[in-house]
Amino acid sequence: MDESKDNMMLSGNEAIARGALEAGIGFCASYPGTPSTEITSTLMKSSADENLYVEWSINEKVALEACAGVSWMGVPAICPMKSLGLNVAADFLLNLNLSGTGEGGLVVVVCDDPRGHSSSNEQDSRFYSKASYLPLLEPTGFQQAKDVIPFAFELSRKYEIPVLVRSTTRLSHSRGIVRLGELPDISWELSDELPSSLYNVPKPHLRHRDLLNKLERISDDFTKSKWNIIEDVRDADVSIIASGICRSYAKEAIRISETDASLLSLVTTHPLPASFIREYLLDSNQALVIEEVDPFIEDAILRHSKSMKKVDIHGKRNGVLPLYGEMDADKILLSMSKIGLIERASDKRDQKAVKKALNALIPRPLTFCPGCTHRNVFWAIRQVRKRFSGKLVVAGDIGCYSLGVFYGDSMNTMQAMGSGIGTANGLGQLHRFGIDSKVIAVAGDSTFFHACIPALINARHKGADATFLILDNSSTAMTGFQPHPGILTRDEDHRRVTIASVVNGIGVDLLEIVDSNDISLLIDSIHNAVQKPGIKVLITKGVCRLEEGRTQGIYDDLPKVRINKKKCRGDSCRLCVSGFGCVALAWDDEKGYPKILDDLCIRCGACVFVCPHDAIEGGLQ
Amino acid sequence: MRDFFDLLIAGVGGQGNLVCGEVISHAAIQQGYSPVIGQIFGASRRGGTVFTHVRIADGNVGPLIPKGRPDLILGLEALETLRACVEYGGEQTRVVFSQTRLDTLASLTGGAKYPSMSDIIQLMSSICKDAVAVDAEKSLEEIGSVRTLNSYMIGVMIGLEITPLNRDTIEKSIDCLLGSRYPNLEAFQRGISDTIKEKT
Repeated sequence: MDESKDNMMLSGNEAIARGALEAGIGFCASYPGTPSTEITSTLMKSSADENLYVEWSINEKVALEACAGVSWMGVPAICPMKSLGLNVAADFLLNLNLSGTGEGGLVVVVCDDPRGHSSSNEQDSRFYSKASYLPLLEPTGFQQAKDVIPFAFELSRKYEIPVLVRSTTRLSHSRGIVRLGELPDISWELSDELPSSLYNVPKPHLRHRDLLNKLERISDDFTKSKWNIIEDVRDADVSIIASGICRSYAKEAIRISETDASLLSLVTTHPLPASFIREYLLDSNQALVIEEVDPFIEDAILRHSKSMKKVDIHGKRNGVLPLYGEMDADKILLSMSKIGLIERASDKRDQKAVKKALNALIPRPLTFCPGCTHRNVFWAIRQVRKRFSGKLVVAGDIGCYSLGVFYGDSMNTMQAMGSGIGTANGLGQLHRFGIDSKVIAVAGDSTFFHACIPALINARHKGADATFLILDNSSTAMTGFQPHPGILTRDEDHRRVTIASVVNGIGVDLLEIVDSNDISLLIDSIHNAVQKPGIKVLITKGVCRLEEGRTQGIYDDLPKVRINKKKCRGDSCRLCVSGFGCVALAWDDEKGYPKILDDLCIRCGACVFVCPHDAIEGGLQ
Repeated sequence: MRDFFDLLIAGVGGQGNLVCGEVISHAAIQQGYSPVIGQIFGASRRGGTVFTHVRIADGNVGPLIPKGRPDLILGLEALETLRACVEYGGEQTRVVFSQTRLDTLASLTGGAKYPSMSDIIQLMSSICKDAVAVDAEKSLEEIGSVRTLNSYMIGVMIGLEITPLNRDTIEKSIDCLLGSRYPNLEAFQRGISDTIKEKT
């Protein structure tokens, strides 16, 4: 197939963005988060169009609230976010469902991350569709990822409620050919006034009743929906029901095993079109339900199974498929063998040889990039911890610097956005009970704006004893360098809000801004702050070398970093590779000295400071 | 029906693994296929393992090659190629990999031992059909950029004539996608000529 004007190789996320354009949206607000980020960044490329406004919001809750605001006034709005982002936005979502959206329509796209490739959990966000009584669509491939978005807007406008669309990492990040549709001329009109009663009081229970009625009508719509496709086989041995990207795994497993299986690709997964599924399973003795991550559809079917003809429902509940982790064709083949459809799932592999090779493998944990200033800060924290004989706890947060947990335990905790300073509100009160450890909280710049401000105010107000390090590299680096309020952007409408001005406004016992290229200064500043009582804030000014390399090129004109072998103590020291651990520093086993990998080294010179024998030379220092 | 071909690219974040997949799929499109690429980004840029699944097909396949079924594992780094063999290699899988060694933090600190190149080749061959180890270092040094290893390895793959793709379409794709910041086209051609020299 030619990649032409009408057919393009798109990722699932790019397809969703294209679908939003074909739906004629006027507004997108979003906070970046893997694997959802590229939906918004793709739309941003189209935002030169005067009928489309796209923004990186401060967090997902504000993004969704902004989308609701414009939707009420007739502007179609899309709000993409990652799984964990929906937790942040859920407070608003579980009110907006009752209040309703306006004539513009509102679609929330949530991208889940089974296996947690780039997330700290693998939550199945579909439970929010149940919690909020909202319709949910799960596209099964790239084409559908595009096509389903205009339909989601139709549905939202028809019932005046938000519609959820769910993707997963393997759909969002994989690419395939998509047939493009037309981009409409402007398809919406700004309303003159807000819809009436955009509040749920005084009788939220009656709003709930009305929403349940809508959901029943939507269930009827879904029963006749063209999105749910059956590929039927005469006298099939099994009827498979698959959602999302799992459809492609199911097809692959059917092909490999040459099983006689019918396949229902279910796109409208909430509310469950029960009568449609009842009919699909009418002639079946057994069904296999394939989905990621929780048995969401499976449980819904099991709930209706009393009204169905006797059919064995296989899936995650009866243990033929796992209740955790990512799905793939191999797991489906194994499930087929467990229920006796095929003899044994053969993957054409010599298992003995595989096992032997597995034993030879060593893991490759993620680490800071060469020259990353986060490494400098965590190195400094480790030195300060030594000065306090280990009595230092570091509450961490979400971002590139989360890798601190793998860096000699220089970060001890990591949960949600903002949880570092949040948990420090508790840890920082333990002095009254005689805690003998000092408390540090760590957050990045974008995370600071996203979720740290209420926690810092609380810590200040309640007199918590903690040192808060804000690792400012002027970028939302983890997700690809999106701007945040602390960054100067080229957009004339934007006004910069500096972290220091916010912290000053809150008022803290100590505020210092430290250059994170200067490790010696970092160590002294952190040590000094930790010793002082009260709530202390250090803003460490660093750089993202990836971002810098992208925008300014690398430090090619600086002297190369070199090992001075006369000064290096060789194997008796190894501090640079064992302790500091920059990936551009390797060890030459034959010669017994470190060596610099010039193609990786960015010549920041941080290791020059770290070497206690002055045996590393060159770079920025 | 045309021959479909499943190719897994293995490497470390920052080696140009994703770009490698894009070049190959772009070439496949020119040859009338509808490829599907399975990849993950985000963490991939932070020095971790990166596998890119390139499925040269009719568009009707999923983003992941089932275990044991890649036709080719193309490796940009030795340890990660072995990892790909362990996770995905099968009896019909051919392996072509660069002997590039990128240590892990544990292998640097002495906490873990990076397996020897001879062990790696032997283990690969025990799982897969065969394994071709490529020493790209000298050629890349002559070209003047180790950052073009991905293009060089695509060249080796074309030189070995083991995929349905041809030289012209890859050259067009490199030209179209990679620009001229690094000598990618030169590296690709060098990969082909080194391989042909080796064969004769």
